[in-house]
Amino acid sequence: MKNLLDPDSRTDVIIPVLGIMPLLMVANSFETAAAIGIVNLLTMVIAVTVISATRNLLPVEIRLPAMLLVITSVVSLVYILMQFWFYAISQKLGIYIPLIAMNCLVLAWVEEYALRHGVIKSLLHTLQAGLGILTILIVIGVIREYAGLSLLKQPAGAFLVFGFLVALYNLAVNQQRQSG
Amino acid sequence: MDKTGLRSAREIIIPLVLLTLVCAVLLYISNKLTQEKITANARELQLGIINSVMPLPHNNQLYDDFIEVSEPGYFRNADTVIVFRARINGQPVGVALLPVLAKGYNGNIQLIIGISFDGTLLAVRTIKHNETEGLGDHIDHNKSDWINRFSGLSLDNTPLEDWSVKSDGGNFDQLSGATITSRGVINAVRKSLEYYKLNRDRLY
Repeated sequence: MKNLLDPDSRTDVIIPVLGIMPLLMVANSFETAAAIGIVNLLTMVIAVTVISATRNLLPVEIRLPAMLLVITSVVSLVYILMQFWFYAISQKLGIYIPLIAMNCLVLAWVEEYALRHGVIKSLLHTLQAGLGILTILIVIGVIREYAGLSLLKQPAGAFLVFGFLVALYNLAVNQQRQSG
Repeated sequence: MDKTGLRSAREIIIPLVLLTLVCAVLLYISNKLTQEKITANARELQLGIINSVMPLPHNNQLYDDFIEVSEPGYFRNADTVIVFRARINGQPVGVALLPVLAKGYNGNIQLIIGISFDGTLLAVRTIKHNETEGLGDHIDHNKSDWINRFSGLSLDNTPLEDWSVKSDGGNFDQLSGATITSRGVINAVRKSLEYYKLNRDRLY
């Protein structure tokens, strides 16, 4: 139980699972999955860098509003840049880009990690996490695109595919534990 | 409560106000710098879609030459249909209707329909749909050439009773497993042609 409450172990398991949900819905093809994954990665990296760099300047009382402000601004900025360079894809992602701002993943990540660690460490850790999420999104996107089931292409299909992937993962972990 | 543990209002408000200002200025500047290019991007994307059903040569600014029509008797649109008009030296060449809604199996299908001046279909393209994977989604020209069947048809060369799927006594193959989808698209295309024929003089 003690282990679960320790933020360093908790963030890696529970929070990403909850936080990844809004991203999953739009990831119904390789293209959209890669795009939303990259947008999310960029947002996380910029927000975490800004917050961890300024964490000692901000009194503890205003950290939450300050974090929200930074995250929403970063998402808006990324959205503007995306419309600037990749307009067609930005239209495909539509409402899901602004939704990243309301995504508990970014906020949780900033809160749990950026506030406690230096810029370089936060940046590296976030890059790693963002790339991991990008990979999972692409796997799910490709499965949904090529499985040939329209059910999987609907938003709910994302949860089905994700559920099966988590089950497979748990199975592999359990087997490893038993044999090890 | 221990008063020394509380920060003064100034210590809290000033950093937050400064941060807000920085964010606002940053977003304002990036918006200003990118606005023009983003508008042009939107225009280019839209123009690409319009040109996909307007193969005829024209020399007017198609994107800026349009009227909006609202005809509940002909179109399913709750909103207006935009009629883009192609011209060559001012003479009408054809129109592109966008979006024309068709009744799909799973909600409305958005079509764009190109019609030449004499009322012949130039092309029909599906822009947006929620049809069943592997069946109804064959209305997308990337997945099947079914929708290309319409090009070259008009009310003159195809009598009204032919504008339905073969199982309804018409002259169109239905997409297998997607009769409702096929029916919806055929109806929407036919009604657009009827609308065009009756209102051509008003459209240009």
